Amino acid sequence: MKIWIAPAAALTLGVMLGLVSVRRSVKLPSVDGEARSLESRAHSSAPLKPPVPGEGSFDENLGLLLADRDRLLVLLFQTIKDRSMPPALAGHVRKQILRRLVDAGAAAEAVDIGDERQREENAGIVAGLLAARDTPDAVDFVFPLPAGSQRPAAIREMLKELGRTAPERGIALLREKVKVREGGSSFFDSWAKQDPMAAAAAALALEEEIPGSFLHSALHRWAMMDPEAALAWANTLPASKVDPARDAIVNGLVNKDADAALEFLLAKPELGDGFTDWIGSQLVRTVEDANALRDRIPPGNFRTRTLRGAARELASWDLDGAVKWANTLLPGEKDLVVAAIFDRLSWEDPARAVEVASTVLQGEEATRAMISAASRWMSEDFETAFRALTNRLDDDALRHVLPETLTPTYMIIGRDLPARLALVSELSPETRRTVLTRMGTQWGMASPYQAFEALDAMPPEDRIPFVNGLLPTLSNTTQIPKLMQWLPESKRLEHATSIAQGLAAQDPQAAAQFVLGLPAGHDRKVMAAENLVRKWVYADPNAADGFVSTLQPGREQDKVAAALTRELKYFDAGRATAQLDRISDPALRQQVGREIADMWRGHDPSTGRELLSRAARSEEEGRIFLQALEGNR
Amino acid sequence: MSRNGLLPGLAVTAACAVIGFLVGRGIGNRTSHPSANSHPPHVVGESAPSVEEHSLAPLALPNVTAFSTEDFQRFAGELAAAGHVDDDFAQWLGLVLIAREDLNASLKIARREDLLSQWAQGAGLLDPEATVELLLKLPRHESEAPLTALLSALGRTNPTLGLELLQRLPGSARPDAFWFFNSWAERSVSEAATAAAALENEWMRNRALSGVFHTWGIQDRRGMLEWAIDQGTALGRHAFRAAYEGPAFRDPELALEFAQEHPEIAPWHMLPVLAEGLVEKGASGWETILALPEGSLRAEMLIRGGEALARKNPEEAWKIFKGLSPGDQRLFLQLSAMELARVAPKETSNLLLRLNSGDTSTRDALTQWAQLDAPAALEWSHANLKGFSQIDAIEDIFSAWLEKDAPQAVRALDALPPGARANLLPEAAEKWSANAPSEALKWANSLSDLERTRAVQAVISGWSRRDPIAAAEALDKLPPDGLDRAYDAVARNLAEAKPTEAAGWAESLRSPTHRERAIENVIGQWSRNDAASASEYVSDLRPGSYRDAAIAGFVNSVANLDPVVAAEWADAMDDPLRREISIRRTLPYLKARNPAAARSFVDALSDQALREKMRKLLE
Repeated sequence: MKIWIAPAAALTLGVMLGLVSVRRSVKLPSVDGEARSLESRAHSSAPLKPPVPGEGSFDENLGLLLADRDRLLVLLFQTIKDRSMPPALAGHVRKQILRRLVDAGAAAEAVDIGDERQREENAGIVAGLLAARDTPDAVDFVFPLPAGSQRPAAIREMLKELGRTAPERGIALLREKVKVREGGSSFFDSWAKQDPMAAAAAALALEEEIPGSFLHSALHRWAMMDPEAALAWANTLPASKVDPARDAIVNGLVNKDADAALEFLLAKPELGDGFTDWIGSQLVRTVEDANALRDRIPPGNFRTRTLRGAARELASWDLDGAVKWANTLLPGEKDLVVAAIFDRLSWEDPARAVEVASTVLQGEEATRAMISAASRWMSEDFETAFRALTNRLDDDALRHVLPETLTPTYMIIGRDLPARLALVSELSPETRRTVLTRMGTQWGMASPYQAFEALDAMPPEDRIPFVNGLLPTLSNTTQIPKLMQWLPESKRLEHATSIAQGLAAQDPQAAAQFVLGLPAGHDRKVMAAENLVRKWVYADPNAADGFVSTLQPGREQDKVAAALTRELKYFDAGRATAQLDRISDPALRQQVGREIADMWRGHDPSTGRELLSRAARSEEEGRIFLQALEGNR
Repeated sequence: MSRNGLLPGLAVTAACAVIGFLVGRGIGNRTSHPSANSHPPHVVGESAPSVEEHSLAPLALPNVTAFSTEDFQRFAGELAAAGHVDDDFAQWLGLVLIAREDLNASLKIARREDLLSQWAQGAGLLDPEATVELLLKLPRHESEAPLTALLSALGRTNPTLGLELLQRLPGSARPDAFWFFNSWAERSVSEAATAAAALENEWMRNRALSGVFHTWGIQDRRGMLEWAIDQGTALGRHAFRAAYEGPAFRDPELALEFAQEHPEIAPWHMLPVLAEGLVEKGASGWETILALPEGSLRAEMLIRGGEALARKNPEEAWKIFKGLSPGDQRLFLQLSAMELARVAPKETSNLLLRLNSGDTSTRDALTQWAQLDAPAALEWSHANLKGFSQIDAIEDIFSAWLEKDAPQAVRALDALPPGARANLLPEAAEKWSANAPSEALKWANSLSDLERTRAVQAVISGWSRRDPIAAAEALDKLPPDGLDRAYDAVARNLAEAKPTEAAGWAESLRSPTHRERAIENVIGQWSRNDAASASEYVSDLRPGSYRDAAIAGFVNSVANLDPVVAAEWADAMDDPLRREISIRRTLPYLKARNPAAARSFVDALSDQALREKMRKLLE
C-alpha cells in the first residue's frame, strides 16, 4: 500500500510546482489611486495578516522532514499555502495527499493544517476516506473533532461517502448515533444519486423512527435526475407527506434548471405556486428576459408571483428598465412587482430606494413602494431612516408609511430603546399614537420581553397606544391582568374581545364577569360576548346559555344568543331551534332560523319541520323557515 | 521496505513528479497572462526543486489522442485504475488535457458527462476568453455555474483578467460577484477588498464585498469588523451581516461582543444565529449566555439558545434545562417545549403549568406528547387544564393524533360528549379521508344524522384535495342535501388540476343550485391560475343564471388583477341583483387603480338606478 504514497505525492507535487513556476511570471493586479487609499485605511485600522501556516521555505521544510509521512504533511502544507492554485486543482491535490496520509495513519495530524476553513475541509475529506473503509474508524475520528465546524463537515462527508458506497451502514449509524443525524441530508442526497427510489423509501421509513427531514434530501436529488418519476412516487405517499414531498421535488428541479422547472409547473398546476418567485429570479436578467417570461405564462397567481421574483432580480441589473417594465403589466401584477422592485433596491441602497419611490411614483403606488423601500432601511439604520421619512413625508403620508415599515426586524440588540422611543416622541400626537400601536404589535410578536421593557421605559401617555398594539399579540394569557392595569376603562372596552379571550383561557366565568361589567349595549361588549359564547358552548353549553340570560334583553342579548345558536346547531339542533325564541329581533331570528333549517334539511327534515313550525312566531315566519328547509332561500 | 522494493518505488515516484510537473506547467503556461509567455522557461528545480529531481524518469500517462466521450472515459478510467489519483481528479486531468488540444471537443464531453464546472476551471486556465465565449453560447441554466467556477479560478490565478471578464460579461450572463471576490480574497484580502469597494454597480459591489468578508472573516474576524466599522456604519453592518451569515464564521462570542459594543451594526434578527452558534460550543456557550447581564438580550438568548439546543439534541437540552433557575427555565421553555416534550412529556407539561409559561408553550408540548402517547396527553389535559386552554389543548392533541393514527383517534372521539366532539369532527373526517377516504366515508355515514352531514362534507373535501376525480364520483352517489361545501371543495380542487374537466363536471350536475355553485368555484379557481382561458370558456356560455354564476367566479378572482376587465364582465351579467353585487365588488379595485376609468365605467352603466348607487359608492 505504502508503495503508492510517494508516486502519488510526487505527481501532485509536480503539478503544483509546475503551476508555481508559471505563476511567478504573472503580474499581480495593480491598485489605482482611489482604491489604494481604501487599502491603506484597511491596513491602518487592521493590518492584514497572511494565513496561519507558512514559516520557512518549501526546500527548508522538505530538507528537515525525511520520513514519508512528514514529507506528505509538508506537501499538504504547501498545497494549502498556495492560494494561487486554481481551486479545483488545489482540492484534488489536497485530497490525494490526505488519502496517503490516512493510509499512513496520520489522519488527525493532517486535519490540523491550514486555516479554519481548510481544517474544516480536511476533516471532511479525511472522514469520507475513513468511511469508505470502515465505519467505526470514521466514527472514532469524527466525534473528537471540534463541534462548531470540523465535526459537522466530517459527519457530512462521512455520511455522504456511506450514501455512495454503503447505505445500509449509513442507516444503521443514523439510527444508532443521535449526533450524526445532522448529516442525514448529505447521506440521502448521496444515496439518491445512486438509487433514488431506494433512498427515498428508506428516508420515509427512517423519518417514522427518528426525527429528521431525510425524505426531502432524497427527493430533491431524485427530482434533479428524473422529476416525473419522483413525482409519481411522491403522489403515492400518505397525505401528510405529499405536500412536503412535492415541494422537495420542485425545489430540486429549480436548483437544477429553473427553465425546465417552469415548464414542469405550468403543466402541473396542482403543484401550486410556492416556488414561482425563485423561478422568476432565476430566469431574468434583462427587460427582454422579463418580457419573454411575461408572455410565456397566462395571467393569474402563478404569473403574478413569477413576475414578482423576476422584478426583484431585474431591479438589481436595470432599475429604470424594471420600473418601466412594471407598466406593461396588469394592475394587480404591477402592485406586487413595484413593491418587489423597491424592496430589492432597499437592500442595495435604501436611501436611494426611498428617493426614487417618492419621486418617480405617485399616489398609492408611491406609498406602497415607499413602504417596501423603507422597511429594510428601518431595520438597518433606524435613526437615519426615521429622520429621512419624517423629513420627506407630510403627517398624513407618515401615518400611512411609518407604521408599515416597523416590522420585527427593525429592532436591534442592545441599549437603543430609549433613543428610539425619544425619536417617536418627536412625532405629532396622532402619528405617534399610530406608530406606538404598531410598535406594540411588532414587539409583542417578536419579543414580549423587550415589549415589557419598553413599556416600563415609556412616558405614561405613550403606554396606552403601545398596549393597544401589544395586547392582541400575547400568547401568555397570564400577562393580560398585568397589561390591564395600564388601560383606562375606555381602552378596556376597546380591547374587550382580547381581554375576555385571555381571561377565558383559564376561567370563562371570570371572562363573563369582565364582559358583564362593560357598558350595556356597546358594540365592543357585544362582540366580546359573542366571541366568548362561540367557544364556551362547546365546553359547557349550559354555562354559556346561562351567561346569555344575564345580558341585557334586546339587541345585546339577541346578537349573543344568535352566536350561541349558530354553534349549538352543529351538535344539538333541537336545542338550537328552541333558542330561536330568545332572539327578539324578527330579521335576525329569521336569518338564524334559515341557517338552522339548512342543517335540518341535510339530516332530518321531518323533525326539523316540526320543531321549526313550533319555533316560528308567525305564519309568515313559519313559511320562511319551511322554505329554507326545502332548499329555497 | 527491502532494497529491491525500494528502487522501483523511487523510480515511479520520480516519474510521477516529472509528469505532474509537466501537466501543471502546461496548464499554468496556457493559463497565464500573455506577458507570462515571454519569460524564459523555468528549469525543473530552479525555483522549487524536488528532492527526487536527480533520479527522475518518464512515466507515460494514458494516451489522449482522440476526443470522443468514450476516449475521455477510457482515459479517466485508466488513470484512476492505476491508483495514482481518484476518479474526480482523473476526470479533471482528462478534461484539461483534452481541452489543451481541442477546447470544443472537451466542452462537448463535459456537457455530456455533467462536468461543466470542472471543465470551466480547467479550460479557463488554458484560455479564459475562449472558454467564456463558449460558455456564453450555452443556455443560462448550463452556463451560470461554470462561469462562476471559472471566475473563482481566475480569482486565484489571474484576478485582473477575472475582474475584466466579470465586468465585460453581459448582465444576463454575469455570475454572482461573490465567488470571484471570495476566491480573490483568499489570495489577497487587501487587493480584493480594494477592488470590491471600487466597483460602481451597487449590487455587484455589495456581493463582492460579501465575498471578501467571507474569506476575511475566517482569517481575521476582529480585524475585518474593526476595519468595516471604521469605514462607516453601513459597511460595518454589511461586514457584521456577512460575518454571522457566513457558514465559516463561527465565533458567536466575538459577534456578541461586537453586538454589545456596536449595537448600531447588529440587527435583532441575528439572535437565533448567535444563540445557535453558542449552543454549538457546548458548555462554554451556555456559560456565555448565562453570564450575560439581566435584561432582554439575556432573555432572548436563553429563549433562542433553548430552542436551538432542543432542536439539535433534546436529551442534552433536557439535562441543561433541569439545572437552570425557575426564571431561566421559563425563558428556556418558551420555544423549546415541543422538543423537550419529546424527551420528558409529562415532566415538561407539569413544569409549564407550574411556571405559568403560557398557552402556546403548553400546547406545543401537548402536541408533541400526543404524537408519542395521545391518550396520556389527553388524560393530563383533562386533569390539569381549565377553561379555553383545555378546549384548545384537546383540539391540538386530537389534531396530532389524527395525523398519526386516524382510526384510533376517531374511536377516541366517539367517547367524547357531543359538544366536545362537534368541533373536532370535521378535522377528523378530513384528515382520515386524505389517507383512507373509503373507510372515512363509511365511518361518517355511521354517525348520528346531525353529525353525518358535516362529517361527510369534510370527508369529500379532504378526498378532493388528494384525488378530486374520485371525490367527485363519490359525491355523485350521495344525496346532495346539506353537502354544499363538499361541492365547492370538489369544484375548486378539480379545477386546480383539470379546469376543463371540472367545468364539464359542473355542467353535468343535476341540482341547479349545486351546478351554479360548482361553476362559480370552478371558474374562480381556473381564473386564479389562468384568467385568459377561463374568460374564453365563460364567453362561450349562453346567457342565464349558469353563466352569471361563472362570471361571478371570474370577477371575484380577477377584480384585483385586472379591475377594468372584471368590471366589464360584471356588467355583462343577466340577473340585476348579481350584477350589482359583482360591480360593487369590483369598483373599489378599479377606483384605487384608475379613478377616471372607474368614473367612466359608472357613467356608462345603462341601469339608471344602479348608476346612481354606484356613483354614491365612488364618492
